[in-house]
Amino acid sequence: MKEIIMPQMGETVAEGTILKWLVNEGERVEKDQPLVEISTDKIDTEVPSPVSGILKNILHKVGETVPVGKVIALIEELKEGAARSAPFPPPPLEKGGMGGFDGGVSDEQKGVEGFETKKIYTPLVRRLAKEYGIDLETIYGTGAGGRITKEDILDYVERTQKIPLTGTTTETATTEPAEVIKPEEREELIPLSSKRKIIAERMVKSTTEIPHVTTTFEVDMTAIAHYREANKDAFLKENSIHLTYFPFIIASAASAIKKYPMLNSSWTEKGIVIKKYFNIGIAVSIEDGLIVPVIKGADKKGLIDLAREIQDIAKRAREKKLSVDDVLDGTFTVTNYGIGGSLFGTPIIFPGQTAILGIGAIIKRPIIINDAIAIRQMVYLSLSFDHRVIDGAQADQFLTMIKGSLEGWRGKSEKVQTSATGFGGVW
Amino acid sequence: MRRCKLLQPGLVEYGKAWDIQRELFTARTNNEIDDTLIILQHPPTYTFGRTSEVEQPVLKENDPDAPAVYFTDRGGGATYHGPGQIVGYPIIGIKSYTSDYHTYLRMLEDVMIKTLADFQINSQRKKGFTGVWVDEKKIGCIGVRIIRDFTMHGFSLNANNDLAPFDNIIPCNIKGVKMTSMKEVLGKGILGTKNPGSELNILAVEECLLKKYSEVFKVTLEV
Repeated sequence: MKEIIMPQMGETVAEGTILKWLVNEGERVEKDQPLVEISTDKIDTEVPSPVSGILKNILHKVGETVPVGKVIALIEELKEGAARSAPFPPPPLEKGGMGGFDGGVSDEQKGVEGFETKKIYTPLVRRLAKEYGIDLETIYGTGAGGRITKEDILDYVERTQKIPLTGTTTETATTEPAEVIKPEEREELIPLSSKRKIIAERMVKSTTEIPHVTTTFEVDMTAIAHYREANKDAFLKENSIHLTYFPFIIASAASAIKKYPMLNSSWTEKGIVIKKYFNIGIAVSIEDGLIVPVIKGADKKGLIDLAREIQDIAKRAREKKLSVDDVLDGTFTVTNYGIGGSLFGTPIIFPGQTAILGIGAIIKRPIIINDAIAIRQMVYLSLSFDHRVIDGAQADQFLTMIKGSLEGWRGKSEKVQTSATGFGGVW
Repeated sequence: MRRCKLLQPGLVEYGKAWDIQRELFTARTNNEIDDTLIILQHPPTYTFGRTSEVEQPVLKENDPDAPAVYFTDRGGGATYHGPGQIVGYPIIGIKSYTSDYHTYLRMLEDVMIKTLADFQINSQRKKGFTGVWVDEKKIGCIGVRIIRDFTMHGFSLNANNDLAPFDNIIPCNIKGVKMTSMKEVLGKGILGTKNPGSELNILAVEECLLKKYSEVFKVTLEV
């Protein structure tokens, strides 16, 4: 038995009060899983379990104040690998409805129904079974009283995944009855990283709270393509910046949110908060997720500054060198999914903002100009907006302005002289 | 000196600030960010800690202007937040400063006591009643959550906020406790001047508090 003691919280802390047991007696607990909440003076804290095992006895109830060092609970420790060294469980028998490749859906249902049988499974085991899609009836428990432990499930998963498959499933499908493949053999559980959890939380919050509408415009980027082609070498030489299409779009979005402030606002129950600062977040795809660093005061920055900042911030995002400040306070977001080849999407609004602009891939397409077919560099710009805050008409005016400023770039750029110090203040 | 990031987002709705806290707390726990101090104010809000007395005086129902109510995961009892009260949330690894949880509370008290002293307000600790007191009235409250030696939630100092809303709750689980503010104390003419409390500049108090925080925690606050 492993004794769980009231933890040492410092020399001057003599006792703690049990606030809440997070695990019930008889339940399985994993190493490091929060076991009990403790309060001392104005501080709440949690005690993680030092071992994996079964919480056998809770010795002090909620509300009791216990001196530091005193035993508050007993855990029956399950040694690592104990389950694995147990007699090898017999292979699970095939049950009706469990065989066959095409029974995938019913397998899953079966798995869920299995929870309602009289056997008692710990919440952890039930959760794992659900995640792996395992019918608990088919597993041989090695725990106390034949109970199924976490190790049993992991062991089962490991074993079943090791069954060699003869040929690919498509080959076998055409020649002989389908290979018996259980869902768990084709699946793998990836634990959620904290980043993943935050992204998930935000996405759910946004899509459940905000009535999203997406509107798409087609924009001719040929003028900017010409401009870019003519200037990118100089840009790189003079400013060490790779001139992409992105800063042009950020610049025109910044002007447009300034002109249409409802796009730069937040919905609150009390009213719509118009922000008088213009901070554009740019969604950057990183190794294990997505991060949205923010370009502060984008309306006041010229093309060179924007290009430089985008390059810098995206680099730091990928190197995980962003500071907290870099990701806070965005008022509008731009996401460039075109980079991966997508033509247009329906981006999800960053919670607390009103709109997000998605940029598709910029590709040459035949289009009609003055009843003649021309080859132009085209892009689809999609704006998702919060329909509580604005209506389609405003969203389209906003996109019309962006389209106008991007397509009109030629006229402006011709007047702009390049120099060692950069370009004129058009953007 | 150790560095500590400073965030001053201004007036932030409690729930939103709590979200920010949790996000930063997770990031801090994963060592993705430095120690961070958030200094802000909340719109009128009642918050209850885990150990708050269950029976609080009844809040007026159906009052559209009634403050928001949050049941939080910090230590301590009920409290009120409102404009004019300076709230601080250190999201920090406590081991860099002290290995003693209660010493951390004393440090937070020190920050407030030293700030008040700069405004010529004499405040004290009261044994067994964590927080900052001016004689028999409480002026600074503390409520903290520490998980695996990382902290969230923090302290609040009444500068010139409305004190009436405290009458609807049992602040800090102390029945009949009276709250006070810097404005009230100074307004009583402790300095001998005529109502200096009305002149209280909350930005100056914030600035002073940041200075005291960096002294007590021996950090350089970086914006």
